[in-house]
Order: sequence, then C-alpha cells, then structure tokens
Amino acid sequence: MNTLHHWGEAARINAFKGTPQEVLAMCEAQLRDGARMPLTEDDRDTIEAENERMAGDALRVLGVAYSIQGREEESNNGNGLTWLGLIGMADPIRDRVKESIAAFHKAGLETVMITGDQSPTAYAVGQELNLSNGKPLEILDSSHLNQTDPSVIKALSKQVHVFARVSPSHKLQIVQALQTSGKVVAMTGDGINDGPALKAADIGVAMGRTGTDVAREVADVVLEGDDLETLIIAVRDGRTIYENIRKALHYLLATNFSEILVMFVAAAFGLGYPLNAIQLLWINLLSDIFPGLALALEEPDPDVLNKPPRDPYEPIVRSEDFGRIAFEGGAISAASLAAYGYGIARYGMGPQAGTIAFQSLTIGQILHAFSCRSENRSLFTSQKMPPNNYLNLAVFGSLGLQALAQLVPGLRSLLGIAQITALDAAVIGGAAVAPLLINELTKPSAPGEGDET
Amino acid sequence: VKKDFVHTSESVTEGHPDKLCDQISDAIVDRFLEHDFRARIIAECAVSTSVVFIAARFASRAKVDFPNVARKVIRKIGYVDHEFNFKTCSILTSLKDMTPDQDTLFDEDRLTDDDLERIAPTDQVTIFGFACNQSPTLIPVPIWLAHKLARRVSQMRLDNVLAYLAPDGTTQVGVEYKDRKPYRIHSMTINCSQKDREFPDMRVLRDDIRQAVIDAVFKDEPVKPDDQTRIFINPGGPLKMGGPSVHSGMTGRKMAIDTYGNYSRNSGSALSGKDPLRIDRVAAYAARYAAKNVVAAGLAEECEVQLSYSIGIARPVSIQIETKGTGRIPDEEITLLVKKNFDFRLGGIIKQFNLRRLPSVSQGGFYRKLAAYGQFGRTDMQLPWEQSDKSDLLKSG
Repeated sequence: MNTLHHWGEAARINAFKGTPQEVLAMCEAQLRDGARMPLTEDDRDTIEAENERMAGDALRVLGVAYSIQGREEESNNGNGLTWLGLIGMADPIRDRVKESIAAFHKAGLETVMITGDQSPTAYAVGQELNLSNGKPLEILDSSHLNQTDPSVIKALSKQVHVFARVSPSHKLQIVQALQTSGKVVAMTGDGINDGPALKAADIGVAMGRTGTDVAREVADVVLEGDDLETLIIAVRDGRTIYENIRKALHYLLATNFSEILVMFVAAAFGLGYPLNAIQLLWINLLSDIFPGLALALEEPDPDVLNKPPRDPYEPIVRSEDFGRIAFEGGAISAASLAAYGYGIARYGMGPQAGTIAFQSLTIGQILHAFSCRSENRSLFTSQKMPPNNYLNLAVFGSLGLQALAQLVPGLRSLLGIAQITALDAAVIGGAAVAPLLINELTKPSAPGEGDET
Repeated sequence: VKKDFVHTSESVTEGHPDKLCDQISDAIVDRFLEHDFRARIIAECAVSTSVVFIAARFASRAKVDFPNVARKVIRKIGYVDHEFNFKTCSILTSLKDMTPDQDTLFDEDRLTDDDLERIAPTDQVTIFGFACNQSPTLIPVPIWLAHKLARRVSQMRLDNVLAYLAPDGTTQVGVEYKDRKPYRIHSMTINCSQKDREFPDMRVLRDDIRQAVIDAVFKDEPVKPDDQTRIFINPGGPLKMGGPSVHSGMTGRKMAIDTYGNYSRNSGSALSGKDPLRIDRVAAYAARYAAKNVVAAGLAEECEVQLSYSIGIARPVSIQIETKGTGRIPDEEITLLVKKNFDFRLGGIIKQFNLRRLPSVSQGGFYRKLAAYGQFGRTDMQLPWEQSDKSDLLKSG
C-alpha cells in the first residue's frame, strides 16, 4: 500500500508499506545513517534473514520504503524505491485461545487459520496454538488462490491447517472449498471483507465487541465477549439439546409402541382388551408428558466434548435405533402381558386383570425413562450420569399420581380400576421393574468403551 | 565385459519440473546451513500445475521462510510470466519441527580424529562412485555431452540469443562404443519448450538449435556427430511452455542425471534435499573422489568404488573397487591403496569437504547450484570431491 504526502515546496513523498519481500523487490537503494546507499545482494539477504527471524518469533512484519517525486507527477507504481527498514508488530495470541483450540480438537472439530501474514509468522503462530494437533503443520502460501484450480483447492483444503498470505477476498473461496469437500464450516470474523465468507459459512460467527456492523449482521452467531471459549459452550449445549431430543423421542416411541403391542397381542389371542380408552389416555397423559419433558432437560453428558460431531446427514432416529426401540417396547409389553396373564388366571378376564395390566404397563413405562437417559450407560456401568432432578421429580410425581389413581375411590371408578391384593401388587412391581433390568442389561456399550480400564 | 554397445544418457535443463524440485529442496538445505551449520534438514518437493508441495522435517535454530526460498528459486530459473510463475503459484508446506539429536550437534572442525571415529551413520546403504577417462572431467561421455547440450540450451535462453525458449528442456545423447571406447555419436534428441506455440516455426527452431547448440557444443569434442548420426529436435512437434503447468515433478527422480547417466551403478536414494549428515548423500561424494583420483593417477581407465555402510559403524563395512579389466594393477591392490589414502567415515567426509559450511562461504548457495546439471564432473563449480589431489599419493603408493 502506498500514500502520497507533501514534501517541501515542489515535491511529494511516496510512502510504501507491505510484505517485506515485495517491497524489497521494488527497492534499488537504502537509507542508512541518513545517507542513500546502494542496496547490494548481500544487504537483501541480510534483510530477508532478519525478516525470517522476526517472523519466526510470531511477529507480523512489514517492509517500508519511499521515493521522492515532483508535485505534478503521477504516483509511480513503485520502481526505484529507497528501503527504510522492517517493522515487527506483536499481535499476541489472546489468553485461553490455545486451550480453546485444544478443546475444539478434542470435540472432533478441525481448526483452520486464514491469515494475510507471511508463512514464517503463520508457522510460528500455528505451532504456538498447536493447530495441527501434533501432526506436521500444513501451510498453504498463496496470494493468488483465485488462479488455482478449484478442484485442487478443494483437495488441499482437507489437510491444510493454515492459509497464509491470503487476501480477504479469498476467504469465501476457502469456505466454499471446505464445504464442497463435505465439511460443515463455522467461520469467525470481524471485518467488513469477512462478510461474504461469514454468510457462506454454515455457521458465521462474528465478534461482538471488535466486529464491524456488517460482520455482525450477516453472522449466525455473535460472540458477545469476543471469546472463543464461548463457542465450546455453544457446541456443548447444541450437542446436548440434540441428544436430549433423541432421548425424549426414543422414550416416547418405545413406550407408545409397548401400549400398541399390549393391546394388539391381547386382542389377537382373544384375551379381550386389557386397557379401556380412559386408561390409555391416562397412560399417555402421565408417562408421555412429565418424564418425556424431563428427559429433554438432561444435563450435558460428560463425554459430549470428547466425541466427534455427528454426521449431518444422519436421521435423528437411526435404523438401528428402531430395532432397539422395538426391543425395549417389546420387553415392557411382555412383562405387562405376563402380569395380565396372571390376572386372567386368577380372576378371569375383566377389570381385575385389566387393572393389573394397566398398573404394570404404566409403572413400567415411567421407569423406562431411567433407561432412556443414555444409549450406552446403564444403571450398572461404573461411570454415572450427572443427576437430573427434573427427571426424578417427574418419575416420582408420576408414580405418586399412579398410586393416587389406585387409592382414591373417585379416580378409581373414573378409570375403571379394581382394588388389588398384596400379591397383585407384588406381581405388578415385578412386571414393572423386570423390563427396566432387561433393557439395562442388554444395553450396547459405547464403541471403544470396552478398551478403557 | 561388453565391448561394443550404444549407451544413452539424458540430461535436463534447470527448468525441468523434477530438477526444479531438486533445486528447491537444496535451496532449503542451503538456507538452513547458511544460518546454522549444525541444522538437520530433510526437504522434499513436488510440483504440479500451479501448486508446489514442500514437505520438510528439520531441527535447527534457524528460521526459514520456505515459500520465499522456493519462490526465489522459481524466479531465478525463469518462470516469471508463465502460467506457472513464482508470484502466483500456491505453495503448500508440511513442516515438522524436530528436537535436535545431541549427537549431531558437533563441530567437525574442532573434533580430533578419535572423535570423528565415533560419528556413525544412522542408515544402512551401499553407495557407488565412478570415474573414467572418457571426458575432461572424467565422467562418461554420454552424460558429459547431455549436460553440455542442456547447459547450452539454457544459456541461449538466458543470453536472449534464442529468447523464444522457455526454461524446460531435455537432451539425450546415444554414444556408440567400440572396444569400450567412445567411437561415434549414434543418436541425439533435444526437446526444448517455447513460450509461444506458433513462434518460431519448427523449421527455424530446428535450424537454430542445430547451429547455436549442437554445432557449438561439439566444436571442441573429439567425437562429433557424423552423417549417419540420428538427430531429433522436438520430434513430437512444438512444446508450448513446458514446465510444471504441463508435467509434474518431484525431488529425487533424476538420479542418473545427478550421477553418471546410468553408465555405472548408482544408489537409489536421492542426493538433493538432505543435510550432510546423511550418509547416502555424502558417501556418494567421497566415493567419486576416490574413483576420480584412481583414474587421474592412471591406475585404471575406469573405476567404480562401492561403499557399504551399516548403522552405528563409522567406517564402511566394505570397500570394493571394480575397474572392468582396465586396471594397470589388480583391483585388490587399488582397493588397498584407496583404503589407506581416503577417509570414508561420515564425520571425516563432512570435515574434509567442509560440507556443512560450504553454503555460508559460497556466493548464492552451494547445494542449489549443485542440484542442476549433475553433481559430478562439473566445470563451473570448485567441488572438493572433483580434485585430483590424491593421485600422486596413489601413484607413489
């Protein structure tokens, strides 16, 4: 970049600054101790070595030069300049950025740095931040990315950690290259010229404090404190919300399936209808609402930031989940039907047997919420889930309501429930707890979990 | 031993992509050694279309701007306003900073002979060195001529005599031998690229190359092309541009050009891009030094020195000399003389040739210049392994 300034009566001074090598290439003399002297090859070598040394210390280095010209002359485009020297500016890495980068790597997020700095500066910063996660640091140095074949950039973008000497207009190209290679791209930025790339990125992240209005407007996320750590929290919460939706969905599908199965099997074998319409409504009211909602409020799994991100094309309920859901629902149904069978054997078909089935099924479903807290961790694995008081409240509250239904005569007659004996209660208890134990014991452990000791 | 045969050797100009990569690799070695003679560096390079890949592992206190080193090499070679050029090419560096091995942080100039004995290679290799009395610098005549032609093609471009030429070119010379002596030029191929596909006409180009290159090169050669010599100049038609935008290149793919044009054996490992602590690089220089002195002393007309190293043993575990029946004394006696007069220990080679300090004392780099037009039998560089200073010792031996 160059600017023109008045210089005495008849002349103007043309001041240049820029990448040291480029400015140096335009110079043919140097100013040393106030005198203009020729710039020899040795001098150029010394200047380059000094630039490499400064850049190696993670300094941002600029070369400065000037030329004097007549007042009326057009600004020359930089021939025969006089070299003045190098300026090294420290742009210290902000606190805790290094830790944030490490946290990103742990969470399976790759980090890429796009910078206008020259390679040695970028290398020093990249090493400091451990951008390559212990692997060789790959830097693409290009000031003319637009002249490179897009398919080449796409292939390279998969492994590059740092894009150096990149002009802001190429950021969009890099983001698009990463996207076409199948990645989901989040980009942080603050400048006006980051706008297009922030908009193109799947998640544009603008800095709230230092960011320009343009950047803030096009971004999907604005970091209020300009702190990368916030992103980690956002990732954790985002993943948790998604996981919790899956848990709730899993619970709802499994429990509702168990109801259908109980009604269907009983009818198919000519065993009447174990539950009446109002009981079914009651079950849905009790089991679906409170435990389902509480599962959506689970605390983040302790491992949530140690896992790679999910495949964005994966459906929220995977095909293997359906198998598991059917199994769990089947276990609950089987236990309830067994209890119903006991009721028929003892009391014959009628409200008494139906009550036993109704109680087994409802309590079994409510208890199933505990199983749905984790796909991989059961009640028996050593690593416990963080407590979820909402769930405890929902489960015990629902169980309380269920007890009321049995004990309050008005409710009992509304629901068409008969009174039960102590033996009946024991059978109901067994039929409600058995599926929980079966489901917990058959739960698949997480991939690789077996390796840990 | 075969006596009558044709042998073809190839050379390329400095703008050939493979050689471009060798020069970038060695320019990086130069840059490290200039600032830190104890630097360890392995630099490999590949180039394709407009992307240069540099993979390097290094242990040094010197900081090197890899892309800048590469861009300077590319500019110097002459890729300035081409599709592939020093300004607009993208450079991908894959860099691994290593911690230096304490054993390599010695200064050979301050070591005693006993200390040198303790510096051992970390590779197991067999290395060859060769010399023969077919050319002024004692390298085989096919590679001698191929280099001479390639250099001349480049010179014509740089001197603007044939300003239409682009930096990429190859030359091949087939020499017919009778009784193991160069007898005539059997065939010759010169491929040179031009900046503009339409200019000049193929006929003009062929005439120019014949006069300015072939005639000039063979002016003072004892064996000249005759009427029967098959000469091909751009047999595939005009080559527009050439260089990395047309074909890709890699470090270490031109081993025969770096050595003896396949006339003798050569080790499969690359010479360029390695610091002098790599035995597979420097032993090739020591073996050549010994072979050249044997021939210069008149002990044989051709001589191949074979050195085998093992990990952890400073001296070669085997030294073999093969003269193909041209020796004046038995090969075993030559072997004894060589063993007595030459130092083949890793530390000894580095010390006697000053290999780790040459880049800082040579103007414009040392290894980069070495990387084009062969590492042996050069007339334009004062190479320590090309001296015949031990021939008198061998003669009197």
